[in-house]
Amino acid sequence: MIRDKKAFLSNLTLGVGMALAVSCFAVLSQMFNHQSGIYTPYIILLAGSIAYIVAKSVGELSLMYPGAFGIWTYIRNAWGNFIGLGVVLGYVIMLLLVAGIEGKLLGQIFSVLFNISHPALIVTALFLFVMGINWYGLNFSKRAQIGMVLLLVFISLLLALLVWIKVPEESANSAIPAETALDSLLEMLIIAFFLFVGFEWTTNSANTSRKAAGDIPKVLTASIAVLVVYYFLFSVSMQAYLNHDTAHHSMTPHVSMATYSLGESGSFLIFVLSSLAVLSSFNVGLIGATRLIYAVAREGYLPESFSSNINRHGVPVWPLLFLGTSGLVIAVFCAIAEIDIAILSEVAALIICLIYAILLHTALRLRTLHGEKVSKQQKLLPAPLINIVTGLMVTVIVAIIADKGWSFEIQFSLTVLFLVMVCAGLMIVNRYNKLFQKEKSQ
Amino acid sequence: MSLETVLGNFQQKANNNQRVKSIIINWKPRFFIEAQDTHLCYQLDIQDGQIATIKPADPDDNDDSILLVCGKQQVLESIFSGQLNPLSAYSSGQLEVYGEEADKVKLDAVSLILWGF
Repeated sequence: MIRDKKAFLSNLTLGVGMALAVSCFAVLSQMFNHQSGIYTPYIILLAGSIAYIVAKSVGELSLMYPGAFGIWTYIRNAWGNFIGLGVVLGYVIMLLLVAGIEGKLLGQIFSVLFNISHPALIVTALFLFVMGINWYGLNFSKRAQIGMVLLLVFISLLLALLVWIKVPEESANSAIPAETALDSLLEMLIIAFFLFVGFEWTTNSANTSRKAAGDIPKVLTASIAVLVVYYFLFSVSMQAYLNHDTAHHSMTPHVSMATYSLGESGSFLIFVLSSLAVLSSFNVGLIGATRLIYAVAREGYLPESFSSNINRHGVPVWPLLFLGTSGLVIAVFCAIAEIDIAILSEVAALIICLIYAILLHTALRLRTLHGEKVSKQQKLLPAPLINIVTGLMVTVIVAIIADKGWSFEIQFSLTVLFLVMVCAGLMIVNRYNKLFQKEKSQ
Repeated sequence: MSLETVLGNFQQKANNNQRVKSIIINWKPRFFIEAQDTHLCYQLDIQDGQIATIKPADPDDNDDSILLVCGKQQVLESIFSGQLNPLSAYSSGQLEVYGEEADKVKLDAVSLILWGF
């Protein structure tokens, strides 16, 4: 039984809106390009089932710690500050990667539709706009957010249906690779997790009443259900379209599908809708990440300046400037340089997979600490199932990284990035522990 | 010290601080504090950059525009007397806070000014 229907719908569209960005369509395109691309709709169902289990676990955590600081609270209570910090840093890196991908894709769409030769300018304007909104602590109104996400979902599904009807049957001469290769299927599974990134952000960013907080587990599972149905239907239609039109290298297939079904007006329609959805999710993402950095800094794990300067709208200035500027630099760099989006989305997908695996086991670990507290309110997932899914996810991640065949430069950069994260985390925790000991002795 | 006394002292300290006043001058949240174990609940009425009154009142759980801080009475007393970092209590799950993000940050900023952590 849903306690607060209005808040439920608002939080549901927040979760779905965070996951539904332009890069999702690029990821679908990337999946269809794989050796086993033909299995994309089934891989989406499989990834969705695992994401559903993750959503159930995060829902359990949200009931253990209602009205708390979401993921930061869950992880640090279960695993301590070091892993908690690692997850926060992982989130920040993933958000910046997503910003880069979204920036590049939006720049591409703008360039094609409006014949603009400098996509970096568009990306800069977009970021400055979102940072400006954030500076004043503004959110899109709940009604506007609900309307935007529902419109995007319904209209893009309608376009997908039109494409499916319009594609002639006799042209079904598949250009999609159809090999049954295990490594390709596993890689597609990991990439498919990218399609659900952000659904868990409701635990960090939802402005809820106490009554609505009890609905968060239902919001999370409903978000996954909506996303799975949406992506499955869209991918089935996309498969039909790609069989008809071999231009499947497009990273913005939703725009070309809209053009195919409704002409130029269709592409403008889908462009406007997805841009609004991206703006909305960027805004919510930046708000959530800014507060996360602020909170971590307030507890002494990051430089004090990140928590000492708050403007009169209640916005922490330095975290906003740091995240906004970093995102802008990465997005502009991606928009200008010849960066392969596939690599960026694979790295982001691997990070989120690892975070989801940690979240899955977090619920299990905290369950032993909280005993029966949660089980009275919610039917819990069986522990062996969580163990199997976590083990499976970690095995797949390790296997893919080992088998990736990335160039030496990419492997080197990733190793350096990882080592920097570990060293920074250790230094921060060490500094905090020293300060804590000093305060205690005083 | 009872929760009411602690809140009274907090009111006095906040109202005497010019920096706090400058931060909350245009802030008009409907702000409630609830002790979950003893069921004591108070509303802090903020007007013109001052905590005008503190009175017993129950929050409306259906209202998502209120700012509600809940926890065990001992935790709330430690926070409002400056013995416990409110953000640490919030992050560790000892404290539940419901409301708009900007209101939460403002509330935290007040404690940062008053207690220095």
